[in-house]
Amino acid sequence: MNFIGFFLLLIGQYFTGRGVIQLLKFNGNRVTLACFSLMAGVGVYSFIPFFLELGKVKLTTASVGGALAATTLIFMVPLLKHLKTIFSMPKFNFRMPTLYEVPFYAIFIALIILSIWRCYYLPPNARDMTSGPGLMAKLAMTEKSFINSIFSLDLQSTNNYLKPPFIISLQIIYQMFACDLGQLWLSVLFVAFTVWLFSMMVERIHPLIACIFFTVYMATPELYAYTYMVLFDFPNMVYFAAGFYFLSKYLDEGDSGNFNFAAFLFTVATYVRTETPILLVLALPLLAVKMWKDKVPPVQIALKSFLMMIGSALVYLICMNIYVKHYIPIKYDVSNDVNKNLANIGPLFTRLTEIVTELIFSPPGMMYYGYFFHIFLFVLAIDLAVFRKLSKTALYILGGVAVVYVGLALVGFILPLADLMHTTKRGMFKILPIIMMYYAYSPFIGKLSSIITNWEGDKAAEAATTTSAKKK
Amino acid sequence: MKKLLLFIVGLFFLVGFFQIKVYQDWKDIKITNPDPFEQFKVQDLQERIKMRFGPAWELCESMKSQIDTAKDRDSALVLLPPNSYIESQNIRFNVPEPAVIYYLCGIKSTWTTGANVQKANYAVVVVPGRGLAFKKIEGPAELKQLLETYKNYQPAL
Repeated sequence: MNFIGFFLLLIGQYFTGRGVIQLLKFNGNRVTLACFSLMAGVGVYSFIPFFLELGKVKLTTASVGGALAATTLIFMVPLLKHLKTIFSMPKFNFRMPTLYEVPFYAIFIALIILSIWRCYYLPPNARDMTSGPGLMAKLAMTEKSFINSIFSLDLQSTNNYLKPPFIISLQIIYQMFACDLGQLWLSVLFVAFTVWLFSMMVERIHPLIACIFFTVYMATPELYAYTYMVLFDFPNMVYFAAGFYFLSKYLDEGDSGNFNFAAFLFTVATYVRTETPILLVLALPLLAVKMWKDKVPPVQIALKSFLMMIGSALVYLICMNIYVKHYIPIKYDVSNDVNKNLANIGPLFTRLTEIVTELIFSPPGMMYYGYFFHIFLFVLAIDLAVFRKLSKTALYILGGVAVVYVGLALVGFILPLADLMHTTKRGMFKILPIIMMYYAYSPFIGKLSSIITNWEGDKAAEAATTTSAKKK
Repeated sequence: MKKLLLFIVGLFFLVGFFQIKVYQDWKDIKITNPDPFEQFKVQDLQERIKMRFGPAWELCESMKSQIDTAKDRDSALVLLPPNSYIESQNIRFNVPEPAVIYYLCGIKSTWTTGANVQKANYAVVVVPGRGLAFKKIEGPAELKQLLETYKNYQPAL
């Protein structure tokens, strides 16, 4: 393990991400900025070896390291006006955990440390990794190019080498500068996203309630496994779910920084999994209806929709139409994977049903997601039956739940290779943090929080709850 | 006092939560096992790979040890038996696909339906009663015979 290299990567990613945030005029509290600086930085870094490869530059330590340094410096330019921001590490307003949070924090920290350890320690053994990005990264390290001896192999049983080079690129970077197995970039995403998600919840609901719901989230068996097993689905979840949260915030509050940042996060999500634009198209009506209600002219609605999709569309075109179609020395026609009988929509409804009956409410489903969805439906039922009025942000976030559910069924319908027990099962990860975001806006949980806060008599917490209630 | 009460509520929740079967199984099977302190004692990368991949890694190692000392190592191409054939011989082992074998040991291999199958000069074969073995193919006749044996079995993962 090269600790200095790892530390330098973290710093580079932080400042690169901070530059992205500055460019996109995104704003948030210090925890949000710090966490998303790292996540955005990982996203930007993941394009670098890929673009070097497309530019026919040999992938050596010097070329990759130089490109990373140059990229970091370029993204620091927007920060120059704010030199204080660059050189002052974020001042977190640490509050000491209250007594009742301590056992929960102990469990969360233990789970996070265990995940990081396994990510560092266990060699990747998922077939999708060893027959695709893992092998590709390993060969690119020794043969200095994505065009390497992988294409002299019998590849009839795999198409994993055709996946977008998000993982390949990060594996190359981390294997070159951090540790033998790479992989630790996944821990960076996991820790940053988890800290942000938890802090976002604690900001709005009582810490004990947040801790209880967060325990259920952290202990979702299948999701936790993918926090240390490198594959596409966890990173895709991070970028998509966060993007959707900021899109919801934009729809509710109208801050263009939220919109810009959401579009950026969706772009990275598309780079991780190229089926993401299908979900984004399903999310567009949320944007269009909201703008239509605000009496925005149709041309502007079209322009905004275009801006939300343009990054994702470009990344899709680069990955699928340039990289796969023309760059890789193997002819692979993606259209062969598309369902030839799209007029028959029966399988779409079958998949929608199977997600519920075979993935969520089934014995294997319990092993994948535990009682996560049962609890969500219980909370939602109380919200709808008792409180009957949801805030706009809550409604938009629920729209995100629907978008992922219908979108995954649609992906399975359009691309039959996207099977229920692998692609859809792991794609469902995206719903989990979106549901956690919903909890932060649920009237039932909000009421419960207020009751506990008032009973507890903690003035600071009371003030926080009052502020969040006003925001609602 | 109120904080203490909330602390007790939280503790009760955690204890109760990890008594629920699905979370108890998860904790016992996936979290506390394998023991990270035991893992800490084994830091060597090759050992970690060996533990992670088990029999597949052992197969690759046996191939590598033979091919590395062979004169034709640069042109070595290993014919893999279809997994359905291995299963029909009552052997419980899944031969990894060529890409995974290349990932593990850098040796090229091919399924029986591979474009270069006629160039195969080594093979993983089934030895009745003993399991799998790795051997050199002694000429086109033996290759033809192996392909004939496998012809009714489609290679698959």
